[in-house]
Amino acid sequence: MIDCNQFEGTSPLLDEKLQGELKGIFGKMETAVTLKAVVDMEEEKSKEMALFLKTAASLSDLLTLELYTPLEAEALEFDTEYLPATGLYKDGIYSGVSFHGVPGGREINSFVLAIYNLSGPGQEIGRGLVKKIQKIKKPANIKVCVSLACHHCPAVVAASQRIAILNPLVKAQMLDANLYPALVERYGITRVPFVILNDETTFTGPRTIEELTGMLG
Amino acid sequence: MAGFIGKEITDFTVQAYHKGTFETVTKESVLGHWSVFFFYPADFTFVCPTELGDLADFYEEFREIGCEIYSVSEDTHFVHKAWADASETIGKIEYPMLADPAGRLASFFDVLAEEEGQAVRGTFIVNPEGKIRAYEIHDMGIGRNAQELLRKVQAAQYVEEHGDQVCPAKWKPGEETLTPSLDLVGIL
Repeated sequence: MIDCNQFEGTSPLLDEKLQGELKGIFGKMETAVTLKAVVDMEEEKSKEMALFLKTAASLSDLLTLELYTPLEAEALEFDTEYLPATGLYKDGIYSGVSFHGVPGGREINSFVLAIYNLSGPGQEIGRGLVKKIQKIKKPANIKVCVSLACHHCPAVVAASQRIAILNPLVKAQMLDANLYPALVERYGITRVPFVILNDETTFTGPRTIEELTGMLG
Repeated sequence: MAGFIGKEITDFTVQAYHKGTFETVTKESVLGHWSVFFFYPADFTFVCPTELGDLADFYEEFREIGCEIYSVSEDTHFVHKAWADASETIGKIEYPMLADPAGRLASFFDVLAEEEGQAVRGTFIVNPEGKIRAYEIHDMGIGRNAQELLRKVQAAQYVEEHGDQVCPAKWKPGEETLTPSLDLVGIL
């Protein structure tokens, strides 16, 4: 494991005002969440990610950060093909939620929502919908490719990750597509949000949590 | 809508030179499919064949996405034919070359430089209902790029089909991470 203390100071992405706002939101957390991140210390984006997560984790006693090298990634349950990668854990169990790339720009919203929804109380959601999500029987992987400036993207990321939190068979990943040109080329991504279901089916544009649940059921 | 966006094209009837023959093109001819009106100053000039040839090179791709190209100048259809006969670049053009000697189309699209009696370099993307969805107008000497025009037509078609609920992505590897923009009011 990498010593988090080697990253000094705070992330320039999280200024004092934003830190105050995040503290307020994280103050609503009910149970502890661990952020496990795989970072390649040779890469600037990984270092940026590490400092971002360290700063975010410092804003709540219920948030813990663990940093791993790519060589240690095999022991982790989430997809570490796209680095830097962060998986969210509760009670030592992987939640099915991961972020690939720094969740800056608009994606700070999906990052905060993922923590809030995992830790509880979480966003309000109808009991009928919760039951539908829990009834999903087939394992599913949802990759939501975003650009950090996209204002339609965080809602799709949050919806897919909410499903993952409620059903252990579903994994939901946010990917800052700008960092992964091979992925962009492979799927011909020109618009976002761009969603890849089970590495096969793709679609572009927003979908609600109800629509996504319908696709997986 | 601002400027020309959303404006329906005018009724018109013009003559055109098209693959060795003359034909009449009207507003009705351009309805039912996507169209590009591509104005240029005059036949027998030097920059024009370059961008008209560029457009000819991409013509098949425009046709594949259901889009017709109409080049337009203030010359007659007879001059278009003479130019096609004289120039290898123009001779290979397969899209209709509209003749607008009365300036009716150029006036409607507001690209007529009246003193010269020529059109400035205006490009208008028109949907199958005859409404303008995108346009650009360049001064005389500034050329255009057919590949970029193809991208714009595709984008216009995409938005027409899916609405504007997606964000176009311009990938810039190495770009700095955007400053977070927290906006969860009413969500939590």
